[in-house]
Amino acid sequence: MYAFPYEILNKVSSSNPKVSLEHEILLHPRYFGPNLLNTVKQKLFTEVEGTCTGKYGFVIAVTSIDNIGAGLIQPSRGFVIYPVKYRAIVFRPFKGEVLDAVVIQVNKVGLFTEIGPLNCFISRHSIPADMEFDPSSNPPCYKTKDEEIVIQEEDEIRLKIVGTRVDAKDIFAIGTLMDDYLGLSS
Amino acid sequence: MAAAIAIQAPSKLKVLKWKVRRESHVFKGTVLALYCDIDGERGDTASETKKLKASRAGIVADISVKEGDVANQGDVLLRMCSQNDNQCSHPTIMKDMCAECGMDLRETLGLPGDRKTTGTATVAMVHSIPELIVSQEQAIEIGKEDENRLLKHRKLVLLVDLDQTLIHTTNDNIPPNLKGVKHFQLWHGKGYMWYHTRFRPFTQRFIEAVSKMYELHICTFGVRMYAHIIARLLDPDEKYFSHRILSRDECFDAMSKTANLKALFPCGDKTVCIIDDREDVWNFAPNLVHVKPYRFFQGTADINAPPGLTKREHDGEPITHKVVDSQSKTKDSNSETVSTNVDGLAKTADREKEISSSQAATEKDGGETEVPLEKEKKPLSAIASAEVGGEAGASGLAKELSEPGTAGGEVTVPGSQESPPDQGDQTSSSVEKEVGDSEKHGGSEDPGKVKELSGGHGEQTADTKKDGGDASPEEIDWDDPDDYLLHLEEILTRIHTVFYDMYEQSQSKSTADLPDLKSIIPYVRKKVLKGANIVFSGMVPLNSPLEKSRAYVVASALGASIQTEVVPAKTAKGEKDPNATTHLVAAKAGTGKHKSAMKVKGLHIVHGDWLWACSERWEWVEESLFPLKNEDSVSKNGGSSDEKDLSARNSKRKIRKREENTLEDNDSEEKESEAKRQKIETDDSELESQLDQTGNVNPIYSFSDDDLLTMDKEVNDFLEGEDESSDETDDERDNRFRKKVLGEESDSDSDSLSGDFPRGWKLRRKSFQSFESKETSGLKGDNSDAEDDEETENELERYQKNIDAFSPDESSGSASDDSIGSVDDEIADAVEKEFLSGL
Repeated sequence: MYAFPYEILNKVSSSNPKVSLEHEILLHPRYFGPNLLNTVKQKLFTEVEGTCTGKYGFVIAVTSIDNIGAGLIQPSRGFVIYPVKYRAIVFRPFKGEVLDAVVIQVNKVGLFTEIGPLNCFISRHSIPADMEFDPSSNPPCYKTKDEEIVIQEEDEIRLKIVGTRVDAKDIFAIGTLMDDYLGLSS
Repeated sequence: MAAAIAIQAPSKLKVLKWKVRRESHVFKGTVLALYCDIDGERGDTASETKKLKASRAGIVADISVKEGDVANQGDVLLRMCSQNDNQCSHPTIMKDMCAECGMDLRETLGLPGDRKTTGTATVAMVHSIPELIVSQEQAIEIGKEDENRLLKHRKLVLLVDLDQTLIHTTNDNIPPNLKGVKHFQLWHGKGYMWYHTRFRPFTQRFIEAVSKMYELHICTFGVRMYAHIIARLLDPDEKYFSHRILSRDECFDAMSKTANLKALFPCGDKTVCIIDDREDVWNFAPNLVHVKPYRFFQGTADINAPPGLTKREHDGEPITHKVVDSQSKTKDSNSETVSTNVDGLAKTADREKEISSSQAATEKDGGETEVPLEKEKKPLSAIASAEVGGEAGASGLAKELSEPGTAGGEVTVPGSQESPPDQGDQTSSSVEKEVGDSEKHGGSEDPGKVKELSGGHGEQTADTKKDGGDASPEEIDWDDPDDYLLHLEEILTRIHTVFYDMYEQSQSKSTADLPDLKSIIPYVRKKVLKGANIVFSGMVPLNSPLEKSRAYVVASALGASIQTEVVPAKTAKGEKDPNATTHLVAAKAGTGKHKSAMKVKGLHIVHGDWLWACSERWEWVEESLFPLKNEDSVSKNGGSSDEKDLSARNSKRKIRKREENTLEDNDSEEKESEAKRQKIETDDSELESQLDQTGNVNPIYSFSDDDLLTMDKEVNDFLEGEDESSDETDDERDNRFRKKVLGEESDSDSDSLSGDFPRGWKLRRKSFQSFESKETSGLKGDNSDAEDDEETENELERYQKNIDAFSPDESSGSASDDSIGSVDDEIADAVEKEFLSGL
């Protein structure tokens, strides 16, 4: 699903308790049969995992299904709605949180990174002053003068989130590297 | 900056390293700097480094002590302004969020873009991320850095258009196995459209060479996905374009690309050069190098042209591609042996070649033109003759073994020794299917191919086709004579050199001003025809002013001075006149200016194409390559001079080819003449497109042969109608018609006996005659033949386009064509009349 570094997944699952969530599954009558509940489960996974809600953040993985309620046949359609209660690992970034991220684009204005499903931008002013943008290298990078630290695409960095934009279907974050122990994590 | 707080040194200290810079956003506890204490008395530095931390959140306004400097206790190290006073000016905004302080600037429940405070950020600096905007000051700072870096590396900026400049893309269905054509979808899935892209020849070489002098940016009207996919195809390692891709999604204005320039290059576009195939989207910017549009697929112009600005006028023009026999290239290893046993066959084939030479010649030409490009290590002449012989021999053999169906297997043998006989039928069917495909799509197929399938004796021709099509299970390679990128590379190199020459001059004079490409590019262009004094003849319509004509604009942009009358080289006193006319650029011969120019010694009289060639390549093209022939004169004369004329016009290309081409063999003379014919044809079609572009068309040329015939017929009908109205008796008239018809019938009888064609005899005869005349028109006759056959197949409509576009050919075609056509019409008329009168 996402390129989620192992540590991050661990971190997410430890720092984000599993949340109880609800979802309604709309099922076509052709699935009525011995495998009905399995179909409901499968449908839940595909419909829910990877989505994002403003309140809980990204649903990373469904861990358990607590209850599949009684199906309600829709009048004059034949479709059935199952209310499902499940637990899932969610990922909701907060201001001030420190996270590991993968650099996906480096340009003259800053760095674009990915924290699993979350996109995060770091302005060049939030990158330590000793690091300069070097567009002539391939791929372009931010580096110190002595080239001791080089941040380029696909590097893993540790950042702190300073702001989040929470939309109905997506979350976007602004990060910074201006703090202790932030920057290239090797 | 009301509440600037000063951070003071806690003791006498030495600042080792600043961890923040101006405008950095700091939180409480953020490390500002590393320092070490200095023992007041002795001046020793303590070994222990300490961290200077921010006592509160805010934004760094000013740093007063440099790294390594010593500060006394109480000295101000840095000033901060408080964040709470909303001091952050939000210089960088991403998705309506300040990227410095993380503040959400969007209005509650607002749409993206609805910001509470307008802020200072207005410039979208990064090509592919329009949501990211920075303030004007920031933009200028970044832009300055960019500019300095470019100057340091002696580079310039080049904005590259994609469609019809570097590539040509179509949505039409095309044969799936064309060589060098990339197929892709923007989004994967069954319902999504397929795109087929062909790179202009030498694209990779061009990008490689130009990227050493220019920083390349893509600037296209294609959607973002399209632009990025093409960029990845052109540049898989992302080393040329990186993320510098501007697409339709990021364009501020749907009709113009100029609006984005200010944002991308906030320090001005002095170092920006543009290559594009259309000038209007750049508002005819002076730093634009106008590129000759690249067309590979027929019927598709720029699929990403701005709405309402699509140029369709060239869509109807057929593009003929030679099928380059890729098999012949692979065959090189055993060409020696093949040549020995096919040369004999080739001779027998020659007799029958009149009929089949169309595709044989096609393949020959393919072989011949392709070889020098491929830079084969083997002796070229041997290979070429072997290939040529091989193809001709194969087709000849096919004729001999022309039992339908069974012939297939054996025929493939001489052409390609490695293909097993039982594949024959399979290949043939696949070839047919594929040709059918390309027909269906109205693609730009080679006329020979069409003729073969639609011809009366399909079986036979399909067999011969197979030999050429042996490579078809692999890939078809269309010959693409476009070499514009080589010229473009040279132009860009010249611009780059001039810029840095001027830059160095200005540096030595220590003037701060950068040279501006907006003046350098016109300057370079003006040097092209500097010193030429040009007189136009027949190039400008009488009723329009000279200054507004395209010829005038182009010539003066190239630096030529334009005169209205021919100025003789010597004045009355016998001195040399500096204003003497050097060139007469004429669309046709025989004009008054032409005559007066002929009297002047040393004056170049050139065809209008000379000017277009100069403007295309930015070169003073050799005048002798574009001589003005008398055949260009106003009156429409027969096609007898056709070949001479065409070959003269196209000799430039041939000469160039010769230069690369050491392939000059005695025994391939005949084949060469065949190939030449082919070449002339391609060049001619190119020429037509040029002519059309310039609007410089002889009005007579715009009538096709058919048009002229129908006109003749109309006149005849009219006259005959008058006859009927006269007091001629019915019997007399009958007799007259009968005589006419019978006379013609006997004529045609003899013809049909001599010809072994079961149907379409009159058309065949046409092609026979033109072949007998051994003129360039041979192929054209064949071509029209193909069209007429199509007519019998009721596919007239599809080819009407082609016929029309071929019209200049046709009208300048052989005179025999004309007479035959009119005789046929007479017969038809007479028969019709007789039939009617019999009722």
